[in-house]
Amino acid sequence: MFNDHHAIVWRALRRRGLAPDAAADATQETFLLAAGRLPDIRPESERAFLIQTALRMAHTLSRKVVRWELDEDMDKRLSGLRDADERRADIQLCDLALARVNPELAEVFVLYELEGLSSPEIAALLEIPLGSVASRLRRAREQFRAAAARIERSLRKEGEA
Amino acid sequence: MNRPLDDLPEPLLAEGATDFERRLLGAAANERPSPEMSARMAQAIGASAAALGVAAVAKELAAEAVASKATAGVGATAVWPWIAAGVLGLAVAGTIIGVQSWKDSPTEPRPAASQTMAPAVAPPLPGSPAQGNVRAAEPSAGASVPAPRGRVAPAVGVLREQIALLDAARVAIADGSSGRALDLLRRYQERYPAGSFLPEAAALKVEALVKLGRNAEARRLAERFVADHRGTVLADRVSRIAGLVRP
Repeated sequence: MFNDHHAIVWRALRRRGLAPDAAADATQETFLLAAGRLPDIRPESERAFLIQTALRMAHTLSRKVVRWELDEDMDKRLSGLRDADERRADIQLCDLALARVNPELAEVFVLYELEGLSSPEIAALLEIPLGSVASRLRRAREQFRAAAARIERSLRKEGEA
Repeated sequence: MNRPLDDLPEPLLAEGATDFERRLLGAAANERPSPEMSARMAQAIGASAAALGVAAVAKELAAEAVASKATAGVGATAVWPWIAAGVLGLAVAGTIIGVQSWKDSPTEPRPAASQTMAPAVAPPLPGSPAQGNVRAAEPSAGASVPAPRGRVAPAVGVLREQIALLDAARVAIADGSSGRALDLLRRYQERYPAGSFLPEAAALKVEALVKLGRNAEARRLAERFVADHRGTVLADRVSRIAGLVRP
């Protein structure tokens, strides 16, 4: 179970704004919590159970996790990112854009766009109606794409400067 | 990406994303913890970093802890899937014991409040039967990462014998020594009356009894087991073994 799912759990936590080490710690705790429920978890629902637990944990931790406040300091952060290696910078930029998306919407966006879960899986995992998955995804896309476009413009402006 | 058909639009990565969006989403979708980080997590929850597949873990544990008294040839064969899962169970118990050891140790400073762990075993929550699913464990309000790295390992060491004992019993059953398996399982139950693997021990006992032809006894035990663990994978297995349901 760990081998199959720890990366997706870790990634789900990363996309909720946790740093790599904090995400690893929370992943670890997610599996420990899951271990206590092992007899109740059906094999086919392990992934959903783990992601659900991880998201709840991220929610619990959210007060302690400092997410980027974008409106004021996005430009400052962008210049810092230029020094990071390209792939890492892209990940950070993605997180930067996600941080501009309403957290409820971002959950659906991440599960669908990044983790490839289906609409029924997301609905079951987040305990929302199927129709809400579609509407949240639509709004999340609008917000994410607007944020990405803004980041891209900022980067271009910096490149020209 | 494995996606069943549903009513959502194609993912941005597959269709409609700008180059910049694709770059960002692609990088995030492919992000993985480093091998070192994965190994550290595995170790912290009690799985061997060298064997995120668990067969080797059981082999190592069985050979190390019990070989001298339990059996020869432990670990040479595949382990039950639920033994694999049990490694995590060990970690849970290990964590609890690890936390307890802080309380008991006069030399070890207790962790600060902000570093204490959430209860490792969450209280049961109502499931969602329509989906055959189980609701996720609820972290406590005070849950905080990091979990106490390095604290789990010693407790897991204490618990190694449990998993090794059960693995030895399983091997004994596979080798046709079901009487010996029952001895090992009795020893497990005597030594660990609140052990992490009591359900697994009971399931093995059913299997050993069936192998010995003590079917009525096996059936009685299986019926009790299934009543207590209805809907679990283990109950399904026990039902099949005891002939409560036909495979």
